[in-house]
Amino acid sequence: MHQQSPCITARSTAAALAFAVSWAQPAGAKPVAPREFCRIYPQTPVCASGAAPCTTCHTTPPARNAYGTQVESALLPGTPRPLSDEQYLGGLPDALRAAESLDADSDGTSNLEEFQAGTLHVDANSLPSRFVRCDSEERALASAQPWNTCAYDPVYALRRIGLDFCGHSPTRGELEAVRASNDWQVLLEQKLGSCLDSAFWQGKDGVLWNLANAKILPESSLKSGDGAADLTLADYEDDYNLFVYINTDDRDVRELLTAQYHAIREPDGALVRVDRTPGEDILARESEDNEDVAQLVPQDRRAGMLTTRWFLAKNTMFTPVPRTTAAQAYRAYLGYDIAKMEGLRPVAGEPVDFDRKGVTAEPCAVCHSTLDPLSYPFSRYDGIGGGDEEESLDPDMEINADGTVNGTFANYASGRLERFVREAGPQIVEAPEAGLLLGQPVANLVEWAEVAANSEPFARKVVLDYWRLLVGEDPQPSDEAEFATLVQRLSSEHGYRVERMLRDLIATEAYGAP
Amino acid sequence: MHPERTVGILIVNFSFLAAASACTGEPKNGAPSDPVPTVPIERVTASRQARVKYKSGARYANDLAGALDLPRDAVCRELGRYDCVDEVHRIVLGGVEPYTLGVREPLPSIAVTAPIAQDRVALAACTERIERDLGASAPVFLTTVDVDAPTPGELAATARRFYDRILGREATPDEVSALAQFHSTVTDEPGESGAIATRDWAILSCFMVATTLESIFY
Repeated sequence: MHQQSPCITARSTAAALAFAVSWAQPAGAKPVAPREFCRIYPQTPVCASGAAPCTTCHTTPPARNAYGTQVESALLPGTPRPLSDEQYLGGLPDALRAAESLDADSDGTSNLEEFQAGTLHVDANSLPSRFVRCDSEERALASAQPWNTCAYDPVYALRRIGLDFCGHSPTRGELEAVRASNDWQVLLEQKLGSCLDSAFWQGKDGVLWNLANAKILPESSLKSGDGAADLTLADYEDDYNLFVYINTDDRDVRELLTAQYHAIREPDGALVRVDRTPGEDILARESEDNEDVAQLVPQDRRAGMLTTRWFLAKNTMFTPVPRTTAAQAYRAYLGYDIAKMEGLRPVAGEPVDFDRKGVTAEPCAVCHSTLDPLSYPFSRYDGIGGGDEEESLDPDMEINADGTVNGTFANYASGRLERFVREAGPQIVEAPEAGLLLGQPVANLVEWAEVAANSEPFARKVVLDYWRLLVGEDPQPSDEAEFATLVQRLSSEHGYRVERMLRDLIATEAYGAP
Repeated sequence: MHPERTVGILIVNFSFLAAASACTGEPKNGAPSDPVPTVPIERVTASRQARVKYKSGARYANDLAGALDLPRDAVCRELGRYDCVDEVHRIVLGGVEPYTLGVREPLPSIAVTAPIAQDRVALAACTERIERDLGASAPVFLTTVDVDAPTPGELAATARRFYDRILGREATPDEVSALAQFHSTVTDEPGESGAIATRDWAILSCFMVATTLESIFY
């Protein structure tokens, strides 16, 4: 097993990029551009996070997409390249305006119209909705149809609730009751309430369980616990159990990132919160027949799903600066996939390249100026050891008086990077534990998780996961108001309780209008 | 002829007949065609959102088990051993297998072989149900049918039961008529008569309703 340098891909394509750069000179990506774009178009959906993604103008920076080429050709024509940041910012507003009426993807809709609608301006298949409300004649016709296609249809909504949450269609009696009732909202909520407790929704391999697949990234070949593989690293069932536990009943979904407990599933399927030190967990759960299952990070260093034994072992493995781990956390819980140039917020002076991976090279720095400061808070958490382990490993995993353990496996160690000097060079120990997330400084991973959990992108990602699951596609421009309301109410009136948000979601037109 | 083979042939024939019936207005051998039957075009207000979702194998099997009053594990088993939905056709029918295969989310679009798998599930479940009906003291569908010589009224009543239980609604007169008339299509086939014909008609009628878009999407 190994962890790739995060810049290997960029290095391996260096020749291709060099060609592209030389062919397209001057074609430097401008880290100042995303925020300037959103200063000019602040209300567009692409600027929801405050900075436009690099893919607004680029394919892979510095190579431009069709829109970027249109902007470039209108940007201070005749001025020698490369432009300074000052020149660039001075000329960008006029260049953007010049490209507004153009149509980069030739789909018949101007660039500006696409920005305003939230569709992709460089994808001819992504078009603004032609959503047209029903006129009076259509409404009359629709109200007499089996499904009322011009309004929220409670019978249709009940059918969806039954199938989505309970796993089967409602009975004909239930459908008739809703059809006949003026108080159908109550019936729908009752149905939802009973389905939210169903095994189909919250059981093992149920809907919620599978909602966590892309966050947990399980691999049976490395599993410990029930159905253990030959090579055991950790048991991801703890991760699934914690995810389902926090997403059900009246629990605060921010605890996905802030919980200092874990959850186990009782034989009857019930999930139970467990507050144990690593030592207590070892004694309670491990035996000769059941190894590598205990959670080993000290309780005060835990950050929910981000510090489970599986998450650290699977993502960090033995890298000193765990960029893969940070990128997965950013992707899974904040909705930003750095590999797709999403959520880039370059930090001045970054990256530093503490582990000699070459991340300061221009094509790498485009992402690493955001990713590396995200990663530093993860650098004190071991995955599966690494570095000069023999100097610090306690083979007996001795339990200390305070319940912590000393091993280098999925554990917290403030001096962890000292083990990597021989491998990564002496400067590795200068890598800070502090980092930056969403522009906010954080001292460690617990603070990282706190900032993340209270951020708008987290609430948005929670709602987006459920929207995709239940509505069946991403929110369309015509859904933006309903979607934004769900996000806003999750973090305010609903106190981050998912089940309360779901009651709102089933009442949206997006869900209940056929 | 083996009963399952007979049903398979009938499915092909039904498809052919359905396709042929869609072409009744075509001239034959250059001769003037019969007057084209005029079907009134129903005016509808189309969906503005068109967000129809695929039911997925697990939901579909649950619905079939409920509608046909079968235990879930009796709905469909390939070779009599492997559950069609949970094991054999799991990914194709919209399921996931994140642990070994790394399929963490359902396929982004319906697989090209999904209709074949869906047909197998529906046909297996309907066959199981009708076989049980023929030997049961309390049948689900063939409740008041003289299987040796069903009357049009008995066929119509059975057709209504298929719609009631599988789609959870009343059948329209056209739907009842189409299924009831299909019995004579079955009996026109060689070797199809009496109880065998009624059995095959019931299996195929169940199959037709269970594989409508209305049954598979929501």
